[in-house]
Amino acid sequence: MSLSAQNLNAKFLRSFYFGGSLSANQGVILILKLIYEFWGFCLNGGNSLTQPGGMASSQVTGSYLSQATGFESGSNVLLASGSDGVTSAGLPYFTTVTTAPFSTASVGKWLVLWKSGSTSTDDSIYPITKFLGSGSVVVDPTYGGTSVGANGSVPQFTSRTNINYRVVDFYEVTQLSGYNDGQYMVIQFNGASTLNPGQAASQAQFIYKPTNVAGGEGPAADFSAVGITLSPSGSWDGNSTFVSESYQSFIGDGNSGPGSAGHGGGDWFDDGDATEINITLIGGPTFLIGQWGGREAFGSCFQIEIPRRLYPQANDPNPICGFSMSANGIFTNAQVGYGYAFRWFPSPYDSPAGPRRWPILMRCYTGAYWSYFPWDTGSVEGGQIGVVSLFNNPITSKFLSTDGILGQGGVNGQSSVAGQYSLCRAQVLSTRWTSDRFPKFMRIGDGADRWIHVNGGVLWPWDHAIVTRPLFVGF
Amino acid sequence: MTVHCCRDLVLGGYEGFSSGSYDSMWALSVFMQGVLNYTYESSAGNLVPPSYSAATVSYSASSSLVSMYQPSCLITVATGTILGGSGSLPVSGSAALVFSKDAINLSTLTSIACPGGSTSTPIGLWVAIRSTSYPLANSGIFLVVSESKSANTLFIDYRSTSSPPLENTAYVTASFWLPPPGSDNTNPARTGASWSSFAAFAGNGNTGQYQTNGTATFPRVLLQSPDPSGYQVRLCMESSADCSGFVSTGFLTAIPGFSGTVGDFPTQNWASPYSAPHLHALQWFNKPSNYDVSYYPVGGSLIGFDITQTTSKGSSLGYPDDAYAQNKRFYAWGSDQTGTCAVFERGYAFSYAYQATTNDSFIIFGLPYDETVPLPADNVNRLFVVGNNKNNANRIDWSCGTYSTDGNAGLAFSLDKKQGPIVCVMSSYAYAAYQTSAFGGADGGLIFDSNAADTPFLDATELISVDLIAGAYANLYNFPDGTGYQGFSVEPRRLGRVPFARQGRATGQTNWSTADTPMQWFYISNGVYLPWGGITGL
Repeated sequence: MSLSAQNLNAKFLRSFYFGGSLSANQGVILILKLIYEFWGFCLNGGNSLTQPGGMASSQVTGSYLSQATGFESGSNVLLASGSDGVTSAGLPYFTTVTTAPFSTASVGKWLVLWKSGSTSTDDSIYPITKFLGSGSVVVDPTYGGTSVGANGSVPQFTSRTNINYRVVDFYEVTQLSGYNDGQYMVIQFNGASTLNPGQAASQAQFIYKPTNVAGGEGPAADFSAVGITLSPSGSWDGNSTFVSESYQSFIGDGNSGPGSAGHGGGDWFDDGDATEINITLIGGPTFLIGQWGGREAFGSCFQIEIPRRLYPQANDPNPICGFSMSANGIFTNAQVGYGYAFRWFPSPYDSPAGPRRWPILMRCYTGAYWSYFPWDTGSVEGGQIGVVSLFNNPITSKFLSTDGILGQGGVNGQSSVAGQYSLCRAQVLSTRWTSDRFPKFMRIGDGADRWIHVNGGVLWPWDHAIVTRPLFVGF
Repeated sequence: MTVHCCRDLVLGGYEGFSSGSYDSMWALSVFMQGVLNYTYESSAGNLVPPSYSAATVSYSASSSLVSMYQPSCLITVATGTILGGSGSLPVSGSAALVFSKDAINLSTLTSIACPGGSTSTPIGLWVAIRSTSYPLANSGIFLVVSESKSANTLFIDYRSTSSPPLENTAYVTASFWLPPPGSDNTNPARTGASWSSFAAFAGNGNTGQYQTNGTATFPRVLLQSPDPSGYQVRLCMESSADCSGFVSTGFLTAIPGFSGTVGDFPTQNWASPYSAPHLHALQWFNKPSNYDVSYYPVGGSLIGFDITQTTSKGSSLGYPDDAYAQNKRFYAWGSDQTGTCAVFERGYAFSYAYQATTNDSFIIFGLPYDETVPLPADNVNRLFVVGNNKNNANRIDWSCGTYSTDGNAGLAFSLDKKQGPIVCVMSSYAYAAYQTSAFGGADGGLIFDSNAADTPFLDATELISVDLIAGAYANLYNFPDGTGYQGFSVEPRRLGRVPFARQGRATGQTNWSTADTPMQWFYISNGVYLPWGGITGL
């Protein structure tokens, strides 16, 4: 089994900066709204200006979404939209041909851009920085954009026309009334079958949940511990449940191992505060990564993906996995099956009801196990693979990184169960691993196989872009 | 590519008379030539194994072998009485080789001399068979245990209770070989050639340098692979000085490379940076194992068979000294197109003292599967060898690192030709998080999980490949700690996959047995699986 890199067709929202002061509840609302726009339009949008793509639809009789009224396209939220947008290569301007969506009040709002079916990384969300006219504004193209130039490191617009756009006020979204514990949004991976032939459009539900406190859940009014529920078959009924599936949701882990929920009991924000935050979303047809952190020095992330199926289709038709971390930094804390080295991975053989923790196995360059002696560098990811030389060939000027596969067995805090064993069920594609000694933000790879060192040896898809805003804050 | 298997050849004869690594060297030489299409290039030292180009091999005054290179025969189920029973090694299962009389006429054959001194029967000889129809069942090296001259038929110890897949319409290729001295199982008195008639092996006496070359009398043989690249493999019993401090004298290495002559690869000539394109580190550096182990160690870079016999009686292993030793059971897999070969040995629990079931050992060498492309410009950068680098490790598993930590290790060749051999490792999928011990320990890998079994997804055992990574760290003595130990160039790259072998669960399997109902895989130990020919194993 030689597991090559996959062209992930990633798009990016690079360090979206929100300078205001939000509560933790408002913080998670902001993140879900960004997911709604980025996933629903930038990644999966058609030509509708109000109906997002990539939302649960396969078995829905109700809705893919339960949020406060106006969340999607309320008049205070969606300020304008159109399909006549134009950008020019290397220029920070967005113009329209016939529509006149902008005013001086547009400055400080955001522009969501996409073209149906496009793989351009120009499809993203941009802050409007200057008003030029009713059909023309200046934006910061480094939020998305396409990395061009000699070093391929400067995100810029490319020349495009007939761009769909939405002008959105993300602050107003957080100020709507009517948000509650239990409200949700269910996204759908319509691209699953492009990776794994025959796979259903698997789904993932984000659901507001109370943070965990001693003795159980905290007050319902504090719902900033967002749960994620995975649905391999994509069976959200549009009302209240996934049909014929009963996988439990998971909230953000802490950094002390299984059973340790993250900030404030699984809170996606530390200290109940979401002030001056930077949010990065990286997504493609088969995966979605979110990471954020802010002035209060918190850092959290989630990751959901369709892993590459390694079993025959009939034996494992619809693999989907994910995890959520509410912890500063990149941790495994020396625990197998934890931190950034595991995934929640629903299995038809889970008993009791899963999902269970599936440890990630990496190619080990010291043999069959990571040798203790030189890699004892503390609580870092990637098997404490702190030796740079293991991952750098100075002769070929190439860096090595390893893929990860998902198996099932006993891990810390979770005993193995007879009848559930798996050695290599699926391959994780949206993360690779290298030495934690490499500098944070180091970019490696060629062509479509390009990555950025998030920290701790963890690599996420990237395109060699350099951004001047704080990136991966809290990690 | 056709993969052939040599199944369970018993080395050592009556009462376990065997010379350990020498017998292994003999068997491997026969397998490579008789089954994998290697050809003889050259040899050096005393008592080198037989070869086609030296078809008559004399090791005692009355014994000789007439070349019977590539005669053809049919393979059928044996009937009638075959040799076995008291005084002989047990024989389990048999097959009949029916020869074409235009290839061999046994009734007129008088020139074969078996180790027992007979001049009229091939009993006791080895026959190497290359079958293209059933390469995992009918190929291999087999002991001739009986004959029927009237039927122009030989009976072989088939090493399986299954009947052989019949090859009675198309001829297979066979060749006959003397067994190693002392392995005559036909005569309890062991009337075969006596080790005592030979002088002890010696190194070349060049203190502070590699000593198993040049005038050394330790046996070496260079064999030419069938691969278009033309790489060679050097089999060598290493001298005392070269083994000192790390492995026992006579440690058997099988190292690939180029430019070998007269049984040896060249040592590096620093005035000519690419003068020694091979993977034998000691020979390349022209240093013994214990050279400057504190800072620039080459110790641990002898990659070979761990065949130390801890219960041996007599003097040191590897010498022709009539020492009591263990019988061994020799298994090998190989490609007759690339010459890539994997050898696994186990102790043989026979009924005599000085024998044990331990001291399992292995070596794999040649070209990887699924090589990383584009291929390196120089073919030496494609070669690898992995195996034991420590005595008494007694482990065949996927752990692979250094002499101190694992006892299994490997070598490849630097992309910078001035650097010579570099480390090569069998790279498994391992837990991303911290582990403190090797396989089987408290933090053993997933294949050792207590509930590891057939996965419910498949109702079958998963077998996955293992990569070969070259140049990942600096020496094979111990992992570097930053204060020294810089033996080899660090330049990690993926070569390809470990050939033949697969990795699977280690829980719930029986060592050295067929692993599945159709007997398509053979389980060795610690999660190591090899392809099998659908017949029972012993």
